[in-house]
Amino acid sequence: MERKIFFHPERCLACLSCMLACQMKSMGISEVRSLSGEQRPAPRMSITFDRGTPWIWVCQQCLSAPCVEACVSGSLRREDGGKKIFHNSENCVGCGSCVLVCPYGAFHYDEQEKRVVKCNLCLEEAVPPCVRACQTQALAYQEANSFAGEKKKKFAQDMRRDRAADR
Amino acid sequence: MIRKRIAYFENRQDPEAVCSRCRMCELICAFHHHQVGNPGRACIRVISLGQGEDIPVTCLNCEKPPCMDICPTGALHRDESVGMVLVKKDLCIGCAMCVNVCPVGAVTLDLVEGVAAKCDLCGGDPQCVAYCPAKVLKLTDADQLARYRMKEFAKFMKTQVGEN
Amino acid sequence: MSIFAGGYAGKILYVNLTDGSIEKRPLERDFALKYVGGRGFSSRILWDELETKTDPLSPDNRLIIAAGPLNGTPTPSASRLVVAAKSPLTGILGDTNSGGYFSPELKYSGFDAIVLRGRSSSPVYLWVRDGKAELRPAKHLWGHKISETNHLLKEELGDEDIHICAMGPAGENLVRYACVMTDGEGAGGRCGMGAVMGSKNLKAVAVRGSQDVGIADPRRFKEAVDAYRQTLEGEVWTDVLRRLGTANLVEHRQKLGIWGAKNFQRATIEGWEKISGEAFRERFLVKVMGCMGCMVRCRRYSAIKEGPFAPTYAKGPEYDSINPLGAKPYITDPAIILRAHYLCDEYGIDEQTAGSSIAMAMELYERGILTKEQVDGVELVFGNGEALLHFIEKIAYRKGFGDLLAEGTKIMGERLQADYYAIHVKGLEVDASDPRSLPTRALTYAVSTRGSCHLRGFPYIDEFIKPEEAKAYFGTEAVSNLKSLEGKGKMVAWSENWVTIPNLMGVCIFAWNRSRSFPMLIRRGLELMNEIFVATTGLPMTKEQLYHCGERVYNVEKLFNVREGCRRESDYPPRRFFEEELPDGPGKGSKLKREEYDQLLDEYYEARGWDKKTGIPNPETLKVLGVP
Repeated sequence: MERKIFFHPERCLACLSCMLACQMKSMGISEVRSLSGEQRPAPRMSITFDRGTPWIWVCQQCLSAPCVEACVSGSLRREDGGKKIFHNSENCVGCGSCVLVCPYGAFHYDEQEKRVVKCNLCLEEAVPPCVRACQTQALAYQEANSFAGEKKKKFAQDMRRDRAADR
Repeated sequence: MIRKRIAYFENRQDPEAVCSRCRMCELICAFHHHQVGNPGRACIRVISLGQGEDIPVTCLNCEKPPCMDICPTGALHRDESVGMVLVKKDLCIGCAMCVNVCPVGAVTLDLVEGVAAKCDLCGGDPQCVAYCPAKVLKLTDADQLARYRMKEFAKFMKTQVGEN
Repeated sequence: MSIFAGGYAGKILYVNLTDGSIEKRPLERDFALKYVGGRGFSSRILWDELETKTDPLSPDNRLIIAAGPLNGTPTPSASRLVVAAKSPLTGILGDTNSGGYFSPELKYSGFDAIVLRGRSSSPVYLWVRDGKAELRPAKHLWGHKISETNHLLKEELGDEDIHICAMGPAGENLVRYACVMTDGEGAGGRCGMGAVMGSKNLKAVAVRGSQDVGIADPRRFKEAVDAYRQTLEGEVWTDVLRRLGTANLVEHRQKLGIWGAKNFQRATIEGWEKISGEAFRERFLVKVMGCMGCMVRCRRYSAIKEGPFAPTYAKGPEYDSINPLGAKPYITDPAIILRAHYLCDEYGIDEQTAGSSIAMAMELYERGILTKEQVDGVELVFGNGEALLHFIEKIAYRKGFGDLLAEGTKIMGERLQADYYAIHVKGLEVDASDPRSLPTRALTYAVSTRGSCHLRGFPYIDEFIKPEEAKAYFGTEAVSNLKSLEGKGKMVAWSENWVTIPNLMGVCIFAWNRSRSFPMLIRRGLELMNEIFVATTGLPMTKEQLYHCGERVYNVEKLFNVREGCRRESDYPPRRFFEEELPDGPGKGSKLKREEYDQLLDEYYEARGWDKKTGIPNPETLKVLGVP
């Protein structure tokens, strides 16, 4: 079971710390104060709004990913026994096929480098910087069924509170 | 259409009529759908809260299912014969966004097949209901559930108010 | 890829705690066909890998954790786990059988069994997940009781759904009868498996898995399971066990007058109603609980919510808590019994031996053989509940008189020159009941291959078998006569082979042998069980062959004990049962008669194909079974 990024919209403040952390990581900057007004790289993660509710755009590591099928250069590959999708931006030719097929806007076109970028989960870190940066734990770096399990547990707790009167 | 779902009906006055955590619902669900023993692949799960609190959780069959709404490929669709949201496995890309949006965590990712998995009411004859030894799982709908809760509350009120 | 079409995971995990090496060995098809699983695997591996006279607390002992082929499937009550080793309490074969959820999870994690050897230089725990295993430091867990250990492990591993087999402080302190606890609920109680873990510096084994347990023929499996379930639905035992749990036996013991109360000085208990199944249900029961896949649901979940011991939450109590913590020390306060049971679970002590040892000490104290000074100044008389609670803790930490109590009744008897009052066979204390009025039970307890145990055989057959059935199966109608001893040796031998089968499969006996109909014992216990086995594994097995697997395993266990020095002399009940009559109750005046017992034992050995003088299995018998 592999971990990927899950989202709790009810906790999100849309502060965009996650986006900033992502950009800083790709610039190799660890100190926010080192940032100046210069142009920043294309983010691997961004925020969108749907009827007032924030949602994140980031690679979902789909198990049958359309992007891997569509990729012409082979820069999108399944790694780790097929469980992660790794984008090697060195080999990317910037054709934009992945941008077309991805339902989640995971790919951003980098104007300067003339290729796309995608979240690779920062595997060299124990926990991705965006998840660490989130002040409300709206981002979870978790296995799918573990995430679902926590939701089930919260629901069960609500049910128990509801029935406390019967005790 | 009245949406059917599997609900947990316990009677806390009867020590035999509450979930016993035998997890037979999980075992028979996984067996029915995949012909194996593996409760991790079941669409119902018994959640243990400690101190003897065990509660089975499964799909609520929402009127406006977030899982179906969010699915980018249409793999999650409503089947009107059963009334439940079902998974078209060949359309599912395994993105697990349905897993993310379900408010009770009832949708999971089947790791063997790489697709979303959720309760399908076993086509109308739910196995968990049939095999639960405590008989605390029932195929029901929101109306019945509401009526049941009202009745329980009325009983509770009676104990509080007494003969007056 | 597993060579098995279903049931088996196909792998056994071998762990060397001395050098930290971990190996996954394939399960051989031939081994599975001959020994099936669970107790079959553990007994055979102990026979193969141990040298004679291995010190049970040395690195050379093996600790084996074994599941059966049906664990992990929806087979009714396929929830049982075997933990085995050479016993530090008895010096012979030791094994335990406990329920819950651990053994299915072991299968989901990809293994049929775990074999641990050696000794770690510092405290460790074994973490097994989806085919991978690693030893992790456990210094921070050392010293903790069972609940806290489980909590810390779940936190550290970040998963509430892991399943844990752990030892408590008693195991760390090498209490000879320290137990293992699965998920803080199911005790692998007897024979001191916790002490073996302690001697290896192994605090716990945690498992978690998401792998399938295959089922070779799902349609056939479903039919067999549904038929099996139907036999349990109509069964009166299912209702009794669900209503009162094993504590339903309290009334039975009183009615028959077969308590071993006051260290086997009394056969009935005044005030027994206070500690009956009904009493515990009325006062403490929160809800009934079921092990994995169980439709019987005999487990209790109890709580003490008022009084000096509130709050106490515990799974249980069982009859086998009420007997040693109530009847033996003659305590009829149910809150004390429940609290004592809880403490045994938390410290990781076998309540059977703990209660027996304390009860023995009570008798010695009342007889003046032990002085007040020797027992830490405590008024150690029968009925003193505070003393019971006090000494349970002292046993766990080997403090004061608890250090001697921690050795068990056999060694207490030797050290105090009072072995007459040590009521055990081969070092394992007599549990279940006082067999002085029921000689076939005495035989069953005395010949059991792990020391006195009522679970190794099924002597109750003569309570309900019909004369024509007795004639057909055992060659004489006398087996259906409760008063007759004719044919009973044969009956006990048959029942032992037969009752081994669920221990091989991983199925609970309460969903297997509970019946008052002999044909049902064959139908459910042999035919349907075999049908489920074949449908699950796809292996060729007939019910006759399955029965012979039970016989084979039993003979391997006997060989192990023979190698350790057991002979005919070891197969006798305690002297007290021959020398003292039951003083009260319906069985008043009963005691075992030496000549009668000898006759029974002769017949038993003959039925088994063992030498009558020594008890050693004959070469022809072993050849037929393909042993060793």
